Amino acid sequence: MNWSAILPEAILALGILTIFILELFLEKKHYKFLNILAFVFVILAGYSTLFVEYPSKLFFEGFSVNALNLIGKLFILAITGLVILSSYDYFTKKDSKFGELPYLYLIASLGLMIMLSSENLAIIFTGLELASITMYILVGLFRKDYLSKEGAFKYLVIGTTGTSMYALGSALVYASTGTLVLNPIKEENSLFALGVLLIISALALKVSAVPFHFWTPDAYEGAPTPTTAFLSTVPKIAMYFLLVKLTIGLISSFPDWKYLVMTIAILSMFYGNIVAYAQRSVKRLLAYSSIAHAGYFLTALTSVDKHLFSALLFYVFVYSLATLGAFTILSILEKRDGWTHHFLEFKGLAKESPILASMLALFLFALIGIPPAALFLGKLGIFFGLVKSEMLVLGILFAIASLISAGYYLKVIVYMFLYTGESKFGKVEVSAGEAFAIFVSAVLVIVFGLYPDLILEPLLRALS
Amino acid sequence: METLLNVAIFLPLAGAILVALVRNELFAKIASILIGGVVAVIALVLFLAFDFNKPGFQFETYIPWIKTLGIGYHVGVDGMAVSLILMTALLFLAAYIWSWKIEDRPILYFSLFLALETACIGVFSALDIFLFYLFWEAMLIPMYFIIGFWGHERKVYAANKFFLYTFFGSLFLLLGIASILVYGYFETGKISFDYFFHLNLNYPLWLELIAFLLFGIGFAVKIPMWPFHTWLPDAHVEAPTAGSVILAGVLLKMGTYGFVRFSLPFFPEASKYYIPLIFTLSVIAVIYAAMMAIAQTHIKRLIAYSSISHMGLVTLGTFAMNHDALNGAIYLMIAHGLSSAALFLGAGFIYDRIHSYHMDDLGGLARYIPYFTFAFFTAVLVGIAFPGFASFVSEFLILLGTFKNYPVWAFIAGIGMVLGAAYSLYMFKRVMLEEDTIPEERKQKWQKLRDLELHHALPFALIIVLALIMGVYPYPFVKIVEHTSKLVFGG
Repeated sequence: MNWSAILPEAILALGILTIFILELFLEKKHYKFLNILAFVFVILAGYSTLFVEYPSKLFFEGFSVNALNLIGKLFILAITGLVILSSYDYFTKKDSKFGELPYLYLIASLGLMIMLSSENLAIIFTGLELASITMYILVGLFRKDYLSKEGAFKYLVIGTTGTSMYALGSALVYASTGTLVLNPIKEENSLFALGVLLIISALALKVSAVPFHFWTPDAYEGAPTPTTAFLSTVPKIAMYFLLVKLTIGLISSFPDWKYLVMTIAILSMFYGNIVAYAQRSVKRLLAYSSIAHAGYFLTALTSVDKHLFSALLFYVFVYSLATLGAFTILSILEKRDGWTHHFLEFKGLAKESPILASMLALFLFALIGIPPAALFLGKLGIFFGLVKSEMLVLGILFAIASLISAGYYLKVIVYMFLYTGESKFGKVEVSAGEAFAIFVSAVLVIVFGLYPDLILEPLLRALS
Repeated sequence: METLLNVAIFLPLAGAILVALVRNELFAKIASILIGGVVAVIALVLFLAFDFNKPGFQFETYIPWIKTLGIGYHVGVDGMAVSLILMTALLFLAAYIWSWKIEDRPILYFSLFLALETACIGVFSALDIFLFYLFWEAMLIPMYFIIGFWGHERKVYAANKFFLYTFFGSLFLLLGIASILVYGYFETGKISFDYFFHLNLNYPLWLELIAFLLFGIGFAVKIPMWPFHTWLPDAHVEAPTAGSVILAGVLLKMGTYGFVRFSLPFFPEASKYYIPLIFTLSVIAVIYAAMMAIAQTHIKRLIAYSSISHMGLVTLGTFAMNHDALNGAIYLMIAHGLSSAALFLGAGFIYDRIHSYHMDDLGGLARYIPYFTFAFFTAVLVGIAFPGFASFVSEFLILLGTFKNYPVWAFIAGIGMVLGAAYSLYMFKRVMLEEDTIPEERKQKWQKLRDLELHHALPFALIIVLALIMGVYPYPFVKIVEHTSKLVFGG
């Protein structure tokens, strides 16, 4: 048995238990310490991936490690670390200190990491459930806030529907093929088809693709902003790593899967981008932008092609960095009383706090896909991947959708920079953790835009 | 020499970061002028070292960059690029010197201009299509903030309009780039953004026709060609003086540069096919914009329309399909860069002193500020293609070349030149002369006006001297732009 394979998970689990126990004894004022401890464990877990020997299988082949899911774990840990650092000051200012918070983030990441490292539908389910239940709690973890509870409840109801669809789907797959392990099999069986259809629907729900997107705007808006940052990044990264694995091992056996995924992708891109124009709240706007991005990402899952997949996973990671940065800035602004993320409140932000406003502008420009931000190369990679897979029409639709999206991101920038408004809120305070998270994500977005091969090449090697 | 070209591209960017980090106003000003000066000297050295008898690009650097997408860092210059870089460096130096007395947020101002300079020189020297697009887009953001921060009353509207129009245009450009890349992939099995890779591909006619239009819209918005021109008068009217200088002098040239660098060599058949369309649009721009200019009472708006009119001549010359006309078109890019910059400096000076751009508030200035009158009149002469200045050589070459192949079009465009003289001299008359018609109290106000200061005179001198050299001794310049027309048409 090669025990090094579960080293990152083991360290994370140890961290969760440590913080869990410490939290029972420590007083509220050590809240910041618990967060930093959680960050340290994330760093340790990330560092330990260097010592993992791969490929290897453990626990009767229920747990497997390969280059691809190791990269996925690194991505998850990187973003989780940044979220943890950027969140403590927000909850302190909002008087919503829960000692549970840091380890809930860790549990969610742990669940997602377990989900990535299995080829078995049942174990994937356990990981997914572990992460999902934690995230329901995370969304509701806001003291005396009605919207947060409402968002959490909606998320819970719709999310559990999703997981039950997934469970039923995998049961049907088991019934028709006799195995829960992923392997590319050709089944011309209606039971199998129904099973795969249910699994696709469940995962579409998790990545908030149309028509399963209803929970997204409410959950994103209701959740405490650092949690929104978490929700819109870490689970997304894990989901797309999972989807790549499932597309290779399961979904591509489903007849006409291309058209199904394509339909979901096109609907999400256009629905997300068009409805985003109607939003008054920037936080909600970013929720719709994440629906649109789900559409962009799903276009890359319409054929089994390693270039397409590597571009997709690269894009998801840099998208997460940009989104994390944007939400972190929103949470900094929200620390002031009365801030509701309404467009009009962004008027004249550039005069008030120029650095913060220009950072937000940078992340929004990145989300539009303006070079040299890495997201531009993600888009380019997916576009050429689609062309190579002879799906030029989908590529063109993808380009048009990205074009449409430019307008609403620009609107935020216009409000910040070109209008003047009187500031009725207090001074903006940026904590060290937030500054660090913003700085790291901004630098990485640019660096990976100039040297995308740093990520693309390992991904390509892992996929082939 | 290769190193010098790279230094010219990246030194301003390094300067921008330095200026932003040091956060000292005086340092920002001095550093910008020094860096602008160094870049101008480098540009001059490159220009003099350029061997126009040797065909092909020179001072090339190639470094593989993003291998998975076939992108490389590839820069180099031909005759057109090296002379446009010289003009760019000179205009930026003029803009830095002119902005010596700026009071509103000077650190941000100078670092945005420095960043813009990198993007502009980068556009003119990129030989990788991705790199070209990167610089092309990068130039948008500083210019957007320059108009949005330091503009006049309706700066927000103008900055947004500028950004949205050009961003919209560059998305078409991106689609065009994607379309030829896709074709290149299907033809050769590899994705490459390299300029020469695409130069050696022969596209089928249908692709040429589509891609020409997509590239063409991208470039036409930037030039701007009629009917995509409506952002330009607004942007110019609202932009600060140095912003207008760079906008008219450098940014507009990128569109026509794109036509010569990409559209003509990549899509030769489509270029011939679309000649009637381009000529119609160009001639409409020449005549219509000149008529619009006559109707203006706002000086900057008038100069903006005159820019549209002159850029119409450039596109006319570009697509007349012979050496003379193309030489003239490239020559006019440089000449118009100088003349419009000088005119905008004049308008900026008037606004600095009198706080109005409207002809109705002006008049009779000539007696009170003689040095400025001299400079402004020279700028007007450069603008109306007076013999002895650069624009004369260029417009003459364009009409000569166009007349060889398309005499009727050349004749109509020639009318535009007459109109050009009419509105420019009319403006000069309304602003500087007509002393008898203005009220007495205005004359008393004019008594107290200060004439040109050093930071006003130097930029004028830089620009006018180059325009004069290019007008009286055009030989080296014509030779150097001919280097490009030989690349495009062969021979």
